[in-house]
Amino acid sequence: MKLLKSRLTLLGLALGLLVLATNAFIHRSIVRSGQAVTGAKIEVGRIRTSWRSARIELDHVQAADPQRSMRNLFEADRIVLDLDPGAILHRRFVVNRGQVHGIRVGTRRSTPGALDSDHETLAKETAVPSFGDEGMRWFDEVTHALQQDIGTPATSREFADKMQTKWPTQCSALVAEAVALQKRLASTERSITQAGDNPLRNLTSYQSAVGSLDTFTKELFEIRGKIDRQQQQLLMEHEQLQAAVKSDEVLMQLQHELPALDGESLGKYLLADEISTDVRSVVEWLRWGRQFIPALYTHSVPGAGRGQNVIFGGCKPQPNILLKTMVLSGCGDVEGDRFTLEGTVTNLSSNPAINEHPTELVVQTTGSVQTAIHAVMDSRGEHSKDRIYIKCPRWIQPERQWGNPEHLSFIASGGESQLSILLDVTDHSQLSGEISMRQMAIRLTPRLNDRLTVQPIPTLLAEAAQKVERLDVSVKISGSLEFPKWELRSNFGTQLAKHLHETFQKAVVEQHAQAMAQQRQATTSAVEQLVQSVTNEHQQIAKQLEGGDDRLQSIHAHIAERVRQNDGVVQPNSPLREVYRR
Amino acid sequence: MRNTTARGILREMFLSESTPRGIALAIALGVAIGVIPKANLVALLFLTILFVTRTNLVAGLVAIVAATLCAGNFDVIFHGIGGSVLTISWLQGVYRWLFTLPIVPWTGLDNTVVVGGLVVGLLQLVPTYLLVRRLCKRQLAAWQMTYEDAVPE
Repeated sequence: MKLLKSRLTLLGLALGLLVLATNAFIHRSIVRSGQAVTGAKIEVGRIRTSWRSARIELDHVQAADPQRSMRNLFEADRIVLDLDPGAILHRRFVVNRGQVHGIRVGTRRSTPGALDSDHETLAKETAVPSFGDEGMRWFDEVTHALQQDIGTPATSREFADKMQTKWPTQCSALVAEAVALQKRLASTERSITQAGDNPLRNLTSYQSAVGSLDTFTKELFEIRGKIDRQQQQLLMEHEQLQAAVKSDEVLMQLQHELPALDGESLGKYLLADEISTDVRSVVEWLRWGRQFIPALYTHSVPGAGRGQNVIFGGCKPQPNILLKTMVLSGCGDVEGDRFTLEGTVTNLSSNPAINEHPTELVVQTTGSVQTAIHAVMDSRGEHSKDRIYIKCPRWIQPERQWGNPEHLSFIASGGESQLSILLDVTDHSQLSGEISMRQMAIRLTPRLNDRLTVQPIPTLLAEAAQKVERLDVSVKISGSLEFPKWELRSNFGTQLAKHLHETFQKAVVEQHAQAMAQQRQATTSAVEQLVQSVTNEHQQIAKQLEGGDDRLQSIHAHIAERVRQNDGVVQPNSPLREVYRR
Repeated sequence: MRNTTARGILREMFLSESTPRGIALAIALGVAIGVIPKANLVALLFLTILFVTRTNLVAGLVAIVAATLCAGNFDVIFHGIGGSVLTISWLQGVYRWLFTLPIVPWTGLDNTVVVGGLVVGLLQLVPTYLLVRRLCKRQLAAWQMTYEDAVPE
């Protein structure tokens, strides 16, 4: 009896110690399981367990951020869990209602929160497509177009040269012809004058003069005809030259039409880095959150330690740990913007595949960051389906840089924006969804490399960038959690490309138009001078020909006077004239 | 005086029952506890039996430690035995009924290694007890003879 008493005392002491160690056991369990989930330190200040009211209270809980060791994922002043006592008797931990008070997101830590374990971040594993600097090719072409010498219009220049060569020659020939005729007229007049008053004495001279009268008249007529024809030809060629100049201008405009800038490529070039970072971040969070969700339900599930726990036929399997409702309340800050947080988590279990209801998270933040998060994770059945919907109607974007600073980049101003994320994860890894972002007022400032700092490119770029007023970005996500794919759709690239094309095209056209006008001015003025010169020559010839007319008239008069037949002798078909000719 | 009392209680607890029967029972129970995973009521029940019966606690605790260290190597065998027992079709109704009762799930009797360990532990109880008791008796007799030879007449 004495032995039994002492043994029972020892056993009682052992059990008492066990009960007293419950808090330490729960503390250790929470820290170990939490650290296994987050991959970073979990710290719990104090734990109070009340078996009478089936309540566990945790004070000052900190969960370190695995990505940033000096930051917490969240920090809570107090977590109260009201357990279901009946479920405990059945070896299940069912939290009927939990409350998280004073939850704070993203707080600073005084000590690093990283664990010594080789918990790898997922960033390195995520395959995200990259984009080259296709847009730079366009800028090279634009720079070339703006800096090159446009040259002289080929057709009009050749035509003008031809006119410059041809017309002085033709004019000289005509002048020579007129001068020769004048000389011959002068000679005839002189020979008749010298023949004296008796025509019979110098019949030969008179015969020759009368015989040349037709030739002189004909030649005078021909020269005048040539002058008229040349004038017409000159005017016609002048018109042809003007048409050639216009044709050349059209041709030059076509030649200097800038190639269309591919807005999609430009958008990708500028936004790819930021979007890929955002997508990677979202996918990382998803993978991080999902990698600890148990796989599909089987009739034999792994035990807590060794062996397997068998589910007996006809028994309805239930998760060992179930959190029916957890109320969240607290605050946080993102980049210095404070917000308050209210939300609930329902049906969070250790084995969601066999839980009756899907896990649901509803969080609403108010203040500087207004966000609504609704996530439903349904792993029941053969095909799991998770849906996460995040809507931020008011999100303050910081200033950021887009593009490659070594080539072309833009500083995008910060400002109020709207963000929405809708993601579906089916069959545990298949990813689909969309991230949409809209920034209503945006100001872009170009940052250029040395190659693009030659004026007027910086001015034109700034002018085009100022025209972009709104940013709409939509990223369609597909693929899997391991290998996510994404496709960018944005008005930004097309908008910026359109403004850049318009601005640069206008500049190129203006520059070329100016140069063309100078060329045209030079060509046409030279040709007009030529026309004027030729016309003057023609007028000179015409004046000389008038002198020729006078001489011819004088010869007529002289002959008529000598033969007393006035004009009869010089009239065509006159019988007397035939006599003189013979 | 107080030290003497505490020492007496400790001696009473651990060094009493140094008979072949007490040592054999302690070792048999210790091996049974050792092969069963500890975080369940079955292990606690066996521990209670060890404490409340007339056994040598030192021998029992040594047996628990030794059997626990070795048991991990035989988990595959325990898992096989436990799996066979737990999937007996005509016992499914009994299991189902048992596991609807409160407290029973804490026994861990739905775990293959616990059931396998329990079966092995129960099966070894009698042979181990008999074997150890015999060895102890023989050893005690040997020690007694040596002692008698050493004492001058």
